[in-house]
Amino acid sequence: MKEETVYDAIVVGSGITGGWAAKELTEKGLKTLVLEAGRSIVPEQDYVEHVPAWEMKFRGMRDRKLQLEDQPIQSTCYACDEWSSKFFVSDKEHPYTTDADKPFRWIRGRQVGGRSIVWGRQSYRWSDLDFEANLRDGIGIDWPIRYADIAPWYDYVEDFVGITGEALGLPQLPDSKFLPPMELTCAEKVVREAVAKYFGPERVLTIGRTAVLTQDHRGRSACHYCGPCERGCITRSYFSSLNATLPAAEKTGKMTLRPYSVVHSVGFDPRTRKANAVRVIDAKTRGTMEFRAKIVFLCASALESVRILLNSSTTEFPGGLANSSGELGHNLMDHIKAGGAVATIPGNEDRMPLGRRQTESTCPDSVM
Amino acid sequence: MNRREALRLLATGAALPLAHQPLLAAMRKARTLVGGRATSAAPRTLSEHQDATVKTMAELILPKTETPGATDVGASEFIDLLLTEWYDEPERAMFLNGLADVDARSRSLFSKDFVDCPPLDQADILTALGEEMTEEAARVRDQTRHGRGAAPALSHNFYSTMRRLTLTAYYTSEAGATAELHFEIIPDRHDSCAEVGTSKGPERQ
Repeated sequence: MKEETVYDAIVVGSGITGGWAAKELTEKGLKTLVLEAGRSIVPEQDYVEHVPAWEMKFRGMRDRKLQLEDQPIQSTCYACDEWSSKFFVSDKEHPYTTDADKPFRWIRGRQVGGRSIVWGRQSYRWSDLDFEANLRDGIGIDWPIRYADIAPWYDYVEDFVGITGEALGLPQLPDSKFLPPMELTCAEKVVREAVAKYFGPERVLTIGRTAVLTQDHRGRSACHYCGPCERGCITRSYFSSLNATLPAAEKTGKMTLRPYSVVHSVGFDPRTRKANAVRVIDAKTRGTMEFRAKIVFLCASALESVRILLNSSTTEFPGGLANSSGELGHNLMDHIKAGGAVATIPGNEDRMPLGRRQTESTCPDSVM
Repeated sequence: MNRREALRLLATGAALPLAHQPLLAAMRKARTLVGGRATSAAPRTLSEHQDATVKTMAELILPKTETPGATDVGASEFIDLLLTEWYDEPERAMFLNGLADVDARSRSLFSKDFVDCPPLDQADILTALGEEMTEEAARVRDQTRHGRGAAPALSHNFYSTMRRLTLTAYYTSEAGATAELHFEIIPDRHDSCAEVGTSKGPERQ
């Protein structure tokens, strides 16, 4: 059977953003092609969150020689361990360079679900302090949006995702639409009280707001506290495209998900002044093909989406598509990973946590 | 429920709309039925004598009591695996020289190889190694007291490595993790602030 090449919409990437685009477009009735550069992931086979250390060759100490050889960059991410290294690219097969004085650890997941399988799940709203930060500091131009513009969209997304957390009414950190919070440990409660005592109401320790379900929610199950979310989740209790948005898109019958599809560039129609096609290299056959659509969504990650646009130059746009400012490829921000502090809090020696809670506590910025 | 049925349920967990308690219980059971990997091959890096020395030391560090000991969980097999496939050449040499030093000590003190000494003499040697390790750790701490960050790991201290590997092998084994740490792959419940001793421990078959 000949592969269909004309769609209403094309989404490039199946990670956290691509999953959302696929869900929204298909639920609006659009016949949507989702292109993923990497392989398929089958949760029943690929998720390994319940495999204990004693079933792993190196008991969770990682295959050190293999990682040094194949994933020296990826393995700097805590989640790229003996279980989950398969959700990260081979650095050998995906080389890149940086200026010597500007190192950058590019953490990448090339598979259906992308990095949403291994993301940290922490989910916070911005407030107007953030939206107006550059205006206050006199840097750049004022952003055209404020919290009030975004708040309904936060609601819309969070209602589907399911965010657990504690409502505090802080101006600097607006509340989400919360599922019940996970409990603080005894030690965290001690710190919370001490922080309240020394800093007053302007500073508060609260449970990390995270995209993990504390109760059954929209067809997905409550967390069972097994711990290692970054290895997958057979009960789909944390949010990822693979656990939530892609199944929703699949349910509409309008989605075609095509793995092993490395996007080369976006085609531009000079008459309609719109993107109208995506050129793909099949990672297995090395064959090239073109898919056409009225709408193209680039959801391939901060760096990959830019790379595709830079690759999409035409005689009219020799510097790539959407680059009339020349800023394309500059001032990028990829995903933040890690951060925080640990401490030993004396007391409560007769207490311990049961189950493995997958969020920490946090102290939101105080209002200046 | 038999093992096959439990594993089938485990595999199809994602297909079910909601994982209620019975399913979680089945998944928990299936995981406890899967069992660990068997390791009975001959050591690849350790000689027969070195292997016997490692086994004897590991069992002294973590003896069998009412819970299993280091030998029961295959600590020496794990150490041999790491020496063969994980450590680089200088690290491997450090460890093997450390083992040779244990025999040198026992020969100078008791005129016998370590493995041929009675347990009390073996314990004397481990005690001395432990004291030296502690002194070395204190020295490193003193040197870095005015610096920032954690003290450097004692990776060059043989006995520290030996102890760490034995403990790792033990607590990542099925017996050590479940019988000793009450580790449950799928916890019975979540409680951030439970009284110690209220954990039910692993489900028994």
